[in-house]
Amino acid sequence: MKKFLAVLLILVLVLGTITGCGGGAEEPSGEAEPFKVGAIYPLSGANALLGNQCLDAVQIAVDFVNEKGGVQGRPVELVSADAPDPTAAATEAGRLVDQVGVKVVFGSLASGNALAIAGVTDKSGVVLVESGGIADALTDSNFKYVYRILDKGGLRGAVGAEYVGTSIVDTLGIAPADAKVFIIHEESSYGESVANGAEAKVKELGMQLVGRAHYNTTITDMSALVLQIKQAQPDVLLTVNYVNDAILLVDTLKQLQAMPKVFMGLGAGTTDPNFAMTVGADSDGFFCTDMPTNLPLDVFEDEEMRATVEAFREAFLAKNTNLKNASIAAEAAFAGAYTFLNNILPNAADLDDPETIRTAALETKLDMTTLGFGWDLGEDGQNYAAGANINQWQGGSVVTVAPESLKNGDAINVPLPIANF
Amino acid sequence: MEQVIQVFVSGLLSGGIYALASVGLALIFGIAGLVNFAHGEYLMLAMYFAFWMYGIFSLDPYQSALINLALMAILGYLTYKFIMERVLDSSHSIQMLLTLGLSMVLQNLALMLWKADYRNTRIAMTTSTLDLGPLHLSTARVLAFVVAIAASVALYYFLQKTYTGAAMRAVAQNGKAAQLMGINLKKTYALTFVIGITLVGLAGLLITPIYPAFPTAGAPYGILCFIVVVIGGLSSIPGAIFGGLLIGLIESFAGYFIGPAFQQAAYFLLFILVLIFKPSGLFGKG
Repeated sequence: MKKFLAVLLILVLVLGTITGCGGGAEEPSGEAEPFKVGAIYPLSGANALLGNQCLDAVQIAVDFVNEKGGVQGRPVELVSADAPDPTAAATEAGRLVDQVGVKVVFGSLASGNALAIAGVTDKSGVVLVESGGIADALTDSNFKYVYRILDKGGLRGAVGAEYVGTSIVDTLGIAPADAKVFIIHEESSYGESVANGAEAKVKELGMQLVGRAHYNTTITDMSALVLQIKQAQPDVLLTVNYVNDAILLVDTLKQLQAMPKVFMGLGAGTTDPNFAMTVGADSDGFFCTDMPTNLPLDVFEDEEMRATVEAFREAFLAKNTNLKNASIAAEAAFAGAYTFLNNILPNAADLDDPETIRTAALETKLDMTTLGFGWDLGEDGQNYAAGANINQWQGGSVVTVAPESLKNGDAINVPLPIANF
Repeated sequence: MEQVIQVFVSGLLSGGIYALASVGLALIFGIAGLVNFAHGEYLMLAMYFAFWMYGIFSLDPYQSALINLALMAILGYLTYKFIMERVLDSSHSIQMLLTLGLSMVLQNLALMLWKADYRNTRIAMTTSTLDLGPLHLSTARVLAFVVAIAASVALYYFLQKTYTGAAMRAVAQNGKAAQLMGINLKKTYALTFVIGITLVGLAGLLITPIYPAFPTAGAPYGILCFIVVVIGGLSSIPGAIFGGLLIGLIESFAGYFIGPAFQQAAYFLLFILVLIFKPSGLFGKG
């Protein structure tokens, strides 16, 4: 019996190896070698909803580029990987780099994942184009081949706090020095970065920081945290959450009658469509600072850019029929992939040389990407043309209320009708 | 002072759920000697069943309770019959590895069948509150607490006062001797596992209006159940009830007075102290 099982096992292994060898993409003679790129997103686990949307968006970008003839005549071949947590992200990055041979990786949605992937890709000379993780550490860690299209966490937090200290206080009829702000955030590098930026700006503008707390995203009861908020009675709550904890937070704030006058989410959870769908009409008036999203098409002066944005939205919604608009995460994922494949890589002298890709990334300057801001990469890999908008949930949709150049609506419900103090 | 009372009550309400989820684990280990690292995944499955009952038949989790519990009982029996029965006599290490694998299978099965979307069951009770003077209590959590404690106490009395309960306790004391007395071991183990899974299913059902269902929703509860059971005493039902309530209170007070980030650290610290100074648990013998 044992012999039989051993023989069977060997047979399975041999067959598997043969199949594996034979299953790879064969290069048809005369056709250009495919340019392999990877996409590493959480396709399972807590962030899988947005992770799958990001993968859809990257696939759309690859399809668009291939329709135009690929990159320098080479068809782009996308290989995806599931990274529900940073450990899996590092493992999958290793697999894509060593076994698949990708030259560029698109990711990651979560800063923890981004840092884990960067640790693997950078030392192998593989580029990481980041369109989700905003932790400051990603561009503060001397990575050479990590390029982030969106804004840094610290900037995101500062933008939100600045809006509070300049615009919201006016609407509330209070001086900045009298405004009480409470900051809460999830405890990863993402939450920490954004909260640090917010805290610095709060203090710079002379507002009162009446509390700051962080929590683990596996939290199942936020009563203790919300009671701290209730004790402090802030005017404004600045929060950095993922979607599950954002919903739990709002429910608990309502149940314990601890809702402040202004609820401002600083990215991720509060910009997730699931957040507003679940919270319902009470979400009207919740701010959700993030990248520009759902911009009116006339923001894009270039006709080709406008057509691309429109085509992306159509293609994305065809894959995600339950959504009214593409999520911010998906828009960013598309922008990162499309900008890099369409605008940066064609300028690289050798697609297999990360140094020439880096040169192309640094030297290419764009006035506009599909995200509504341009591309101007610094030596640290940060796109310094990136910005954050002040968005607000209104009627189940995200409306950009600031800056003036990109707004498509005015802020409502300040203070919130459901505020308790 | 009002805040402190609110913190206490909030902790107690959470603790009731932890207690209910944990008594099943304590029962399974205490009587059948089985270590089940997939315990939290059955809570997750119960949440999904409740979600789908609401989504398809418009039955809220309380209305579909009997159907859901019957499903959980069947699932518990199938798990026991096809998987757990085969490792009854194996070492705990084997049981742990097996059930860890089962946990991964169940999580990924849920992911495959229902995707990773958060499945919220929003009913009127989800956001309604009971206002008792300065206290504001989530109605769903109060109901969950009351049912959880009632079920846990009912289990205790079942074990103490009924013939079947006595048989189960006899098996826990000495399986061979119980067999000699005419007690069918396999049926007793099967019944124990079924009851244990049904109880954790009840816990899942009760938290469905409060917390969304998603493939890894049960994982934090699974770990928590083990902590509760170790603190209370591995095979002690009163220990699991007490442990669950204690964990809820520690979580709440630590979260309020130190910070939410210390909620888990606080009860893990207690876990370590119990293992060092009283490894049999607070209610355990020896």
